[in-house]
Amino acid sequence: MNFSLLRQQVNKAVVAIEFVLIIGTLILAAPHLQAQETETKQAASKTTQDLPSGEDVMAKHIAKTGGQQAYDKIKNRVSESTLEIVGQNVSLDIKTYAARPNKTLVKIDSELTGKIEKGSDGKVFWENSLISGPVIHDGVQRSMGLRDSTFERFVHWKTIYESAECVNVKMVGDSECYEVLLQPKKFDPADEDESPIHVFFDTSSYLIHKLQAVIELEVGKIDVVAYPGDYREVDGIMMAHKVRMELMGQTREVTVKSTKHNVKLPENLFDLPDEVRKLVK
Amino acid sequence: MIIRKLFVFLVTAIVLIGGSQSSVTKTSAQSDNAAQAKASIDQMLTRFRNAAENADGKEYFGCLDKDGIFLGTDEKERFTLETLKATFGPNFEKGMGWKRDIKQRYIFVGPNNQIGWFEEHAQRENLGAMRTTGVVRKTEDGWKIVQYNVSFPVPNEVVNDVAAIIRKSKESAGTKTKATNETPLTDEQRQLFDQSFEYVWEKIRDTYWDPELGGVDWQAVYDELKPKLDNAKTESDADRVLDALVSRMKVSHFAIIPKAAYEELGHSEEKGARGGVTGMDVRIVEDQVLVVSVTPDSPAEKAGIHTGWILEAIDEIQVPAKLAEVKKEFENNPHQRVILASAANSRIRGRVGDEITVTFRDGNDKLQAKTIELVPPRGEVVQFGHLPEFRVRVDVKSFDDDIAYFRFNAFMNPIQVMTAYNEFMTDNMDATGIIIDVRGNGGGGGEIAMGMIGWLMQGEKASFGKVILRDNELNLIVRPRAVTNSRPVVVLIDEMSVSAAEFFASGIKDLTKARLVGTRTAGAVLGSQIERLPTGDGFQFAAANFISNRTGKTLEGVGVTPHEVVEPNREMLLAGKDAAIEAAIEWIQSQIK
Repeated sequence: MNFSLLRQQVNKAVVAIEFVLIIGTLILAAPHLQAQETETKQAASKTTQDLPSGEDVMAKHIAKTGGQQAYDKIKNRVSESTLEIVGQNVSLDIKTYAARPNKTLVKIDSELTGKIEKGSDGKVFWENSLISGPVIHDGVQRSMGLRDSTFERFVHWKTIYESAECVNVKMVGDSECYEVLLQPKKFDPADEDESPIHVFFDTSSYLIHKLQAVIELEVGKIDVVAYPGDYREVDGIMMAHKVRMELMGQTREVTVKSTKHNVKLPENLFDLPDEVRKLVK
Repeated sequence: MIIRKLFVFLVTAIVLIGGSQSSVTKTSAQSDNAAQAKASIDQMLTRFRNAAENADGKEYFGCLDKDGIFLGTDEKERFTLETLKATFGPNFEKGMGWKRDIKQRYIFVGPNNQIGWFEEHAQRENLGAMRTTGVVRKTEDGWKIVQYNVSFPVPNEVVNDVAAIIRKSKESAGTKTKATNETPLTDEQRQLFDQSFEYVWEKIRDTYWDPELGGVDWQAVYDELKPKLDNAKTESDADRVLDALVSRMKVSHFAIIPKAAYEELGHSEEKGARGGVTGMDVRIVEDQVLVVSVTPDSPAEKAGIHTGWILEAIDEIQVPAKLAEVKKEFENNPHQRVILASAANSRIRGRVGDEITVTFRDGNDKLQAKTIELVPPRGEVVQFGHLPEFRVRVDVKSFDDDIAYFRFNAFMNPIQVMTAYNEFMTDNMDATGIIIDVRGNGGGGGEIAMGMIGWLMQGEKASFGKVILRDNELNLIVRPRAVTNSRPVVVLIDEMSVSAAEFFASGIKDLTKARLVGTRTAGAVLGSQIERLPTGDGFQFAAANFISNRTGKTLEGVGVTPHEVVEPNREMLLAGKDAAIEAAIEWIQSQIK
């Protein structure tokens, strides 16, 4: 049988469950990006002069999705999700641990990939897999990984984004949304500049309906569009339980099966595994 | 005494009356429960029917018990829940359901209302009367179907004619790799083929990495082939049009995978399953089909077949003439070598349990006919995405002087292959040398190839090529593992090293000091995906090209050339030796002197 599946490189799983941007499996063999995104049209009801500031939008997002107090009560999160590549009969189960301020551990163990673990202790963004062995990421990948590991990144956005600028009002599906550009901070001054991430907040509920970013990986730049949905209240905060992602002409769906907060976690859960620690210079 | 007797009578009477009263109550209650159970079953079966019509996969599969069995109208259609999802799921995702008009439904329940059974009499457009029967059981999640059986009632007066059609269909299926069906296309089948044709045509138009489609006038292809599909009379006719459509791209990794391949999911060891093998591999050497390997303990070995024997005939097919015919047909095809080798190997495969008779010219140049049974291939069964089942095997051994050898047939099933490879590399850090054999390797996941290369790299991470997509370009970067193996390494390749195996060979050549020995690889290196069509067939389509950094060119149609060309050698094969392995050992030994 002659076939080739340049299987995806499971690259990173972002732990912020409120929007669950799992860049995850990228099919190297995928067709070109056919943006099947929900049409983002210019909203007619507001002009650019009516736009609030980016900071205001972020503040309202926090307030309307639970409030600072509710967010502050949550110290850690354990979630289980499924990532499905739509139409390809492929799905992965993912378990994610996250804790303040910026610790993560993501575990995947499937026939498709073998065992994969990725994590951050706040300083090191690492990966260890059956296929590639232990790796410590550097450069932009490290910065992205550390940024994504920030607990509730849109609540603590100022620690990882230089600025928030509200630039437009657009329709995402039936929802009028503020388009906010968040400019990533560099973790290392030597890092290359990154493109801003576009976040679309509902003008009424301030839930996030869409995210758009150019993900800069070792392999190249990938346009990703994500549509969080199925928002439900969990311990006082609104969290997306489904995210549809479009990248490289493929549709991926992440479904959150369970979320638990303030779980008693082993003290050394986020420590670097031995194999990874040996690589630290 | 009388009073006592009266008392006893009264007590007995009270007990009897009370008992019968409770028995009446119990019977009424039982009837109510039975009625309730039937109503629940009825509701569930209606949801099941509606889910099929609305292509609601979640609801549909949710009505089936986890151990449920679905028996379709085709003899081969025995699905578990898992294989049913694999078969129907893709159509549901595309919004393709079916309508069955239930005319009557009868439901029965057992005495404890935990088990039920049903029969439905239905009509389906273009197919007429149908009957579905089955068994249901009560679970924590409600009533679930444990067996579902779909059938067509056959009027007694035509039953002999129908039996004859079935027999003819089976006879044709036994001799061909793809079952042919000469029965006329129904309207529904025609619709499915139409949808599949449109889908394939648009998908290639929209996703092939080169927007010019390699110069193929894609509209002209549509204009030529669509009328042929419209005029197709049978399923075989329509299949041929789909095959023709994908073959117009004239590159690798475009294929229509017959739906029959999916119907055997989970049954690949059973008698009649496709993919039966003899245990020998063949290659074309100087226009002869030569046995290059015989698996120990296989039917071929048990029949006394030896490496170096030449195939002269397979059943009634004269091999030299057939080879010449195929060679001419693919004269200008850049994949001619792999096509010929694949064609030769496919002729000695068939259905498990079948027998083939092969006439050989043996080591004394005498003709010998051997009848060989076909058995399931060795290896771990793997099923990934929409690929049909496949068997992955890994062989590890060592030669004299502590030269370690690793062979595997696909870059699939990372838990099996990568675990074995990691262990092999770790165990052989001090070996004299290492041979990695990817001859006959059918490819698979490029990432596994890159992970394997990482064991043999020194220094920093590096790129060995690019994947080119329609709207994107990705750099392929391999990082050396934390601990690498620096022993002398030879990688064996040949014309049946395909796809990810070539990708691996290219990376090895560009990024490591390993030596490639053998013959040029197939030149079939495109990134592809597989989806299911409304017809149930698989559709493989290439969407990505691979460009080598070293040459700046694609490997598609070209392949990877070895550092040292070593062709199979009949004399050596007859002596039980493998020329490429001998060359590899010689080179390794030269590195340590």
